[in-house]
Amino acid sequence: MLALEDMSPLRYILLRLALALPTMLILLTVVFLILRVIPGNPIEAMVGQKAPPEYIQQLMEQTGLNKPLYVQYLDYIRGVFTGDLGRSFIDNRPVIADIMDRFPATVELAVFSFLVSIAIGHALAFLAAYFRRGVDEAVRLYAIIAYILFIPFFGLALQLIFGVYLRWLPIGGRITPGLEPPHITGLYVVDAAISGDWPALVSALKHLALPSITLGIVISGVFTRFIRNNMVKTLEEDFITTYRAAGLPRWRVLMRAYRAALVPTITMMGLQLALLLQGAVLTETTFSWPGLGTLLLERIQYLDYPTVQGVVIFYVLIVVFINIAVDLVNLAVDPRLRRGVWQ
Amino acid sequence: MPPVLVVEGLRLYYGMGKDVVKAVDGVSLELDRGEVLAVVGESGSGKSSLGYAIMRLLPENVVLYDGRILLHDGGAEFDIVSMDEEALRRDVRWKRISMVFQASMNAIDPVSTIGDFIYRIVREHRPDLDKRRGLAAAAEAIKSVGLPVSVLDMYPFELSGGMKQRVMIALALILRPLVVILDEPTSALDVITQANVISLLKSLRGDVSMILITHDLALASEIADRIAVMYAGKIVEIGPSDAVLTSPRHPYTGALLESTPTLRQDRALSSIPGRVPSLIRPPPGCRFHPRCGHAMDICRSEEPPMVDVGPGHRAACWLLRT
Amino acid sequence: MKLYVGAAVVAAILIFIAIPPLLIGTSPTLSTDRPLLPPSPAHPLGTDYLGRDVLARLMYGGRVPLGVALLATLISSIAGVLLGMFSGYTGRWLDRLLTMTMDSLYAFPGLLMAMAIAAVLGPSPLNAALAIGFVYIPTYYRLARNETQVIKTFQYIEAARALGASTTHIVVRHVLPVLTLTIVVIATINLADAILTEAALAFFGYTVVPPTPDWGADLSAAKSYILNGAWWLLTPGLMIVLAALGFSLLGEGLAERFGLRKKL
Repeated sequence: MLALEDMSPLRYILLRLALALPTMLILLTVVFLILRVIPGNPIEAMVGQKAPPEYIQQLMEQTGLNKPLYVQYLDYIRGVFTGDLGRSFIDNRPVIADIMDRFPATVELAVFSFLVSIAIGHALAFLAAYFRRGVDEAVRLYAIIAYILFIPFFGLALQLIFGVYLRWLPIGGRITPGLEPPHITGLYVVDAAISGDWPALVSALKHLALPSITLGIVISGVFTRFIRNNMVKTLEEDFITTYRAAGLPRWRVLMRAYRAALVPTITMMGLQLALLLQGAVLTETTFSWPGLGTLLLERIQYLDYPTVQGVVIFYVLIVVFINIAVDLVNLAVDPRLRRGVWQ
Repeated sequence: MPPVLVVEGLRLYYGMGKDVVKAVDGVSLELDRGEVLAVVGESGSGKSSLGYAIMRLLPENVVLYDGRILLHDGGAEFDIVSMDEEALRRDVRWKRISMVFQASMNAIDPVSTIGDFIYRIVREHRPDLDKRRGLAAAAEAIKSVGLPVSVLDMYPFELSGGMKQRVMIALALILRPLVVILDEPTSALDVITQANVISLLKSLRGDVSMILITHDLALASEIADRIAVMYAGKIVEIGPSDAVLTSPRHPYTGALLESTPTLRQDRALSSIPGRVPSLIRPPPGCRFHPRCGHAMDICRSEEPPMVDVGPGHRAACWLLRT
Repeated sequence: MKLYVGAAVVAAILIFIAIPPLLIGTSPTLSTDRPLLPPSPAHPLGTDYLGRDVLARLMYGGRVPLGVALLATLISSIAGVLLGMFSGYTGRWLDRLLTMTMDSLYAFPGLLMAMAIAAVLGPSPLNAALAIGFVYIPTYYRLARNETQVIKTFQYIEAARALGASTTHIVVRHVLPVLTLTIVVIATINLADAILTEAALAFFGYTVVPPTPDWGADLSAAKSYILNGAWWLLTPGLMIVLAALGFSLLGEGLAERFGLRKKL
């Protein structure tokens, strides 16, 4: 266990980054194997064999596929670290540019969905831990069902109810065309708020409503169950008895239990990122949300191999860095980790 | 002056699967102002449950909880058993009766500093104290148990068992309650730390009334004014320490004393034959009869009543009726 | 409780997809009426955008999802358990490398990896099964490896080793039987996940080629049309949810019944 008090925070962060390298390399290698090695000649696989050989040759040179495998691998790794993910077959723009164009949309969706899910997750878990018995059973059933709700099905059903029958909310897209706020971060909600563009803000929020509720509810299933289990387990600990004996009201005792169990909760939230990312792809498709997920699907369909590879690599990097962030947040939250002790 | 605490016919049963554990089965005792009453018994006698029952810290699976627990404060009287939850929390808990838990427990909030932990509890009953004054009170309490003030900035995992136990004692006394229940305060501590804690407890005598729950007769003999002997969920003998220790009137008490190893006497180690009784299906009649060398027919069928055997000294045994 | 509900749901679904097609002659792939008709006695669940009977498509449409999910679960459980057992038993650098790899894979969104593999292999149920199977290997690997490490310390393993038994023999004859129950339970719960993943892949078009009926694919096709209020086109989604729910409850019920408290 690394003890923070033994070294400067900067050094700790660097060490943590170093520890993340093997995971990153393993994942990048797997992606490399999947996208380059398995299909044999990926260009041919994507473009088809009927294409003229010169065209295939040209593409192969462009992507460096005519070089020996180990050279390809090294170029690939170097490219990841320098941010050069190649150029799209479709518009010849750097892949990284296409990704950055779509990234804010996915971030917005992910963040709002995450907020919805932890709000629901905490509320239900607390209710279950406080009331137990019947409420607890109901919450556990909710957790199972919520997770199983197939996102396209749930999303389409919500669209039908709220978009078509009730006409309260829009059913697709990020914002009413023409209302886009000035581009500062690419996050419509933030940009609209900063520039005081209220129509844009309202439109963006209305468009975010159904997708983030859909994804949020589905992800909340896992959160709810985990936080509830965590709370119940922590409530059995000795210090809870002290608080009860000392006359603390039940809800305050619950808060202390939550605080003590925060580290596993945060860690678990980080792990759920994987679920959030894949859920986002389904959500984006269902709601025609112009994010990374829809980019990936489009480009797979158009056989734009460099972009497909680039997007998957990007996902790998996100996952790795979020995990690091989770570790750092945990350090800040739990004194036991800081001093190099865990229980 | 009336006793500060009077317990009458206290019962606490809880469920374990299909069985019912009769942990406390009709316990009556009284605690006078400023005195130390030791409740001694083997593990499985229900003594820890008695402590929790008096505090009304009931387990999730409680099946029965009745009797009377009367707390007298000046003119006011509180019946802990029947009180409303909110009133109990507001007027009695920690303010008038507090508890020191076993040293082996992780009874301190693991993610708070000692200072924050104590302040959080104090603030519950003294909302008038702001953080600065609350921590000052905590500092006083910490010093009074012989710990340095720096402890307030530390986390429980940085403290030794003995230090944590002192913190718990400081916390228990900080609101100057009438009664403090101590559950095995010295077990799980090394001998030297034990001695320190014992002398600390001795110095606190007189200011507060204590119920000391322990299996250690030696500890009881050192600190307690009166001793109650508990067996299978019931009190079998209760009286002034000297009387109980030098002239025990219940066979179990006698056997306990016999089996306690001593440093000075050269005596063969003896033990009480038989097994600790089940609290789910206690033996009929006198619960001690299967292990008692003097068991008579009546002992096997009828529970003996408590009879006076001396000033303030009572025991429950059929032998005393003859 | 969960066990029985789950088992009942699973049984109902299996019957639904297996038997009616033998009795009812309606074709799921031929257009038999006008498109987008609401439910009626002739078409209990209406017709889809090509005029095909929705109920027939529902009944036939379960074969691919369940078949792929089952095959994928078989692949991942066999591969994962074997790798996990041998890795956990032998230990040393191979175990560390393999575990690090598996942990990394486990942290990455499974659907994305399955998408990449399926896209590269081409749309077919077999490829989908391979893709999904690959993605779930770490789940079984971790389970098998951790259990094996515990079992490894038991005395009868030492005894077998002292008697000269080979690693393979010990692992297969002594370790595997202990794991079997847990594996079956986890596989049942995992099957629910696999159904959802297959549905997602089908939704993206990586599993079947039209006109093959498949719940996920049909849901994707319905997307453009339900916005006109053709709610009956959502029924494939309901089937997906019910199938996943059934196996989920069944698996959790089994876990409760046999006292397994695994979080993974």
